[in-house]
Amino acid sequence: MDASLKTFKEEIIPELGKERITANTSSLIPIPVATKRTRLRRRFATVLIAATVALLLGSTLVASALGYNIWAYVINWGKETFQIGSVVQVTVGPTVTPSGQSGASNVKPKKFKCVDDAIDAINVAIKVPKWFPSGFEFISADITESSQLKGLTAVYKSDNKAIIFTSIVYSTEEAAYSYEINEASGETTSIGGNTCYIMTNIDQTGIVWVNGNIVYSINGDVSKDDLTTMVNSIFKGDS
Amino acid sequence: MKKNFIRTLMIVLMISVLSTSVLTANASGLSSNGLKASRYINSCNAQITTGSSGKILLDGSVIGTNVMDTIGVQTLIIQKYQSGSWVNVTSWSDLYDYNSASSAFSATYYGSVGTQYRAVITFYASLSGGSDSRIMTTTSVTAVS
Repeated sequence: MDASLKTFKEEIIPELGKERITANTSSLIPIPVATKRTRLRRRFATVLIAATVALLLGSTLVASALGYNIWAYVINWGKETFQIGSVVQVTVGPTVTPSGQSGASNVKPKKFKCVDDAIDAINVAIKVPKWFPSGFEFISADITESSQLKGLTAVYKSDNKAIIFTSIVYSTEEAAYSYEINEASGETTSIGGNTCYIMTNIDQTGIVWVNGNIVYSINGDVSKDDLTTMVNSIFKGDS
Repeated sequence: MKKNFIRTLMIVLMISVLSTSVLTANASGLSSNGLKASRYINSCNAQITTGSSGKILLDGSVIGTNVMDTIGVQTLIIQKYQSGSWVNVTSWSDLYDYNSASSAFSATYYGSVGTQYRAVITFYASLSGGSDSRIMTTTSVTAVS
């Protein structure tokens, strides 16, 4: 910044002064009206371009500071547009007047006193950690079941600290999962021959892995080493 | 003209440098943990598929970072593709669970065969007066007979 200001003072300000003097001298010679107009237009165009560039840069930076990535948004939106574009190629079939009953609701979870009972009830071969960091105790195990989704959530707590274990099974492979992470915090590792994805989200650490059609995740107020040990305790049981 | 151009370029560069320093400082002051992380939401997931007679099936869930006061879907909007843009056709709101670490939802919509649909889901979680939300837009599916 200091260097830029120094350059501005030493090079730009004297130039501005010179130009003013030149302009005063030249003003003694009559300038054709057409030339004046052309100069004015050029100056106006230059100022307009500068203002546009400054506005664009400014708004992009303000948006970035507020947490929005304008360019990423455009790219994502572009992808949506691309998907929309593919609609043109869809052959429209016969139209059926809506006849069924539309509706939405949250799936009421069924609560269990221990994880094993929840696994028996959900009837999916879900594997849970056998080791937990010292101080954490089992709090609850819930299962949710809908037409396309089966999910198990188990909560372990130590005072205000929590560990959330989840396993989700969808009826098809077209489900989308999105995990919140700190920028550039993700890393891939192998635990017991399984590919695991480790990430941080604010102060929490999380680990995600896929086994068949089940997507597992553990997140909580624990260290990466604790998570690795927890996942290891699942895979060790397999061997 | 050349002098004007250089002068303009210098001014633009100075404004950019100034803006970058000020805004970078602000951004780092707001959060040092990145802009997309959440103190309340760990993850969300959803799936949209089709059934017979124009049936659109939508399921999903949201996982919190702890046992949340409120967690679930704030709004669920079904959109259809019409005349070059996405138009809202129906919506639901406030599909919540309370004192829970996760929440799941299920929705059914009967659309017109041959029309393309998608869902825009706003997941929400709150704890001790703080809250956060994430908007997920599903892929699009075409209703079938």
